[in-house]
Amino acid sequence: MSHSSRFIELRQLVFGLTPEETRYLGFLISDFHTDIIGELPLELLVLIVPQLELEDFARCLRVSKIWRRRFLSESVTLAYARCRWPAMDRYDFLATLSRFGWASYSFRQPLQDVDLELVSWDSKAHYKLDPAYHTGANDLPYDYTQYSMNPYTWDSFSKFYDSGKVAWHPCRCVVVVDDLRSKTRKVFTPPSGMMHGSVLELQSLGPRLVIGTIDRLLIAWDHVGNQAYEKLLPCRSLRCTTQGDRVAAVLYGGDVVVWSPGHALIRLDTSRLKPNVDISPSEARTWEACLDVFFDPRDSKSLYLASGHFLATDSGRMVHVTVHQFSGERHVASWSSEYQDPAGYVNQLQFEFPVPEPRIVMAEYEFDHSYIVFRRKISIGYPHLTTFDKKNRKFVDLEPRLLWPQRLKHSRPGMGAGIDLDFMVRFKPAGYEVVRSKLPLKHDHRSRSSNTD
Amino acid sequence: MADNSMVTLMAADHIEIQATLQAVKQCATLGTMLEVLDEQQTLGLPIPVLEVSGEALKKVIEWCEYHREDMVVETEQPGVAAQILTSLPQWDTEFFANIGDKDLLIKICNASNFLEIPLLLQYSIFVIAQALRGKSTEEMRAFLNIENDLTPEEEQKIREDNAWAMPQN
Repeated sequence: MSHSSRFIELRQLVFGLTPEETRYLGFLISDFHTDIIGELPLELLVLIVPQLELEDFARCLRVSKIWRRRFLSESVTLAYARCRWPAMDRYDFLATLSRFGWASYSFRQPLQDVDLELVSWDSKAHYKLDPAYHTGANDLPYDYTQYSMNPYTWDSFSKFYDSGKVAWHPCRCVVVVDDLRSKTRKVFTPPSGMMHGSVLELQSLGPRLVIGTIDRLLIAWDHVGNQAYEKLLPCRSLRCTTQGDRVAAVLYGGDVVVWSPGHALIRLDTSRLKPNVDISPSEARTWEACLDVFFDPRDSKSLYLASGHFLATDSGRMVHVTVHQFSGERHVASWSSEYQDPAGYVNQLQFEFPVPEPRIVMAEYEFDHSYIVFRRKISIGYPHLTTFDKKNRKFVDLEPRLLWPQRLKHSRPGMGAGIDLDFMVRFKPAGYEVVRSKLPLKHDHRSRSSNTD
Repeated sequence: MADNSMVTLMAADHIEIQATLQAVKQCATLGTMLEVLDEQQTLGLPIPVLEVSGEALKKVIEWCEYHREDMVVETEQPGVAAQILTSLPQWDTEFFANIGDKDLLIKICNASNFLEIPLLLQYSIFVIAQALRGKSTEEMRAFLNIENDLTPEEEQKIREDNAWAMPQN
């Protein structure tokens, strides 16, 4: 019998089956058939897995041995990690998955059975002073021992969370850094002494440095090595960011400078980057108000300058976002995107009073520093605007479910939380709440950026 | 050869399927093959696609016929299929809803990979990922007819490792 006539017969036979025979045939076939995912070529599986949520991925690991082997194969885990945690270059996949799962799960479900700790804004420390830094209670600044926090003003002082540490600014020139791992506290003051009458602004916390400014003076405390450094800036700083031993600052006037303790100040050439469009006078006056700076965890020379503003046009309001990449002080590339403001209709509503001009704020994830996220300052239903992918160097539209406002770095005054793979911190009037990951901390698989570089 | 001329494809189970040339050109594999072949000698001969079953090929061609006017997505362009979608166009949603059978869905996915139809590959992968989303491990096993070959001890260990991903019970 020829090949094709066998097929014809088989087809006729199958189409003529009774329901009972079909079930029997299904049973026969299921004997040698077929785990469709388990038999899918790996090249297709690597395309499917990045679309799975962490929970879905974790559940797939438990289906069967074949599934577990395939989902944990190198190409699949690599594809998943590339998509989810693009900036992480060394990791133990299962440990990382667990920690990310813990971190994202804790926002979706009410936390059950967790160890919740409230550290009050208080000088009678929950946390003992770090004995390596504080030799006795006598060296504590007077201001620190005397102050008492008014719960009504808690929102007005700066506090930051980064890689297991909380930095806050209780009074005048005092900065406190709490280490959540060792439950110890360090109290810092300016190395040139307390300056009476001047006000310190806490600007940024990184894995190594905590940055404050007093007028034009920039102070960097190394909260790991217990050193302090100062640098006089040409102009007051509007905002700072820090990674490793580097600090970048946007100054009033629009200049951007980069500095490492012990090195000269590098001024980036931004003169030709200012938008040559007619933005409204109030915005044109403060181009720097639309600017922020970001480091690249994979490249210690790179720096990104991001700007975002709204443009009023005849057809409605436009969102204009730009990212400039610098290598050292040299501008190397720029990327721009412009599109209709999805919430532009709000303008058409008639208000009795002037509606405040919306602003765009930029932030990045504490987890891996891979994206610059552009968000609307005044949230009216579309807080997320767009995202710049530092690794692939382009604007991307992330799925909203991948975005968690709480995961964003830069907990400037008014932003209420910080989270990474080990801790979740929520800032409250009475103090800050700490939730500790119950996962073992013996392996340190955090991204290189959140260690040191 | 004009784009509206018909070609015949022959599937693995020797089922012959008629398709317009324009639709067939959505498949980069076949499109390249047709360009290389000598038209005069091959005109009218069925093109063997023996790696794909008739049932799956029929659906693939149905999809290609609908999308034949579309720009063929460059296969060279990296990662078309790897882009994460949030939804499908309406026609494609219905197309996949009518498939129903999971095996057929996987076959279409495999076929679009083999025939190099990036958009169909991207869509079918999206549908498969959708099917896995939000299912418990037990539901996945039942849905895909998989036998659990993990020992209770192994399973308990995995369950504890990823307790956050398991339903609270």
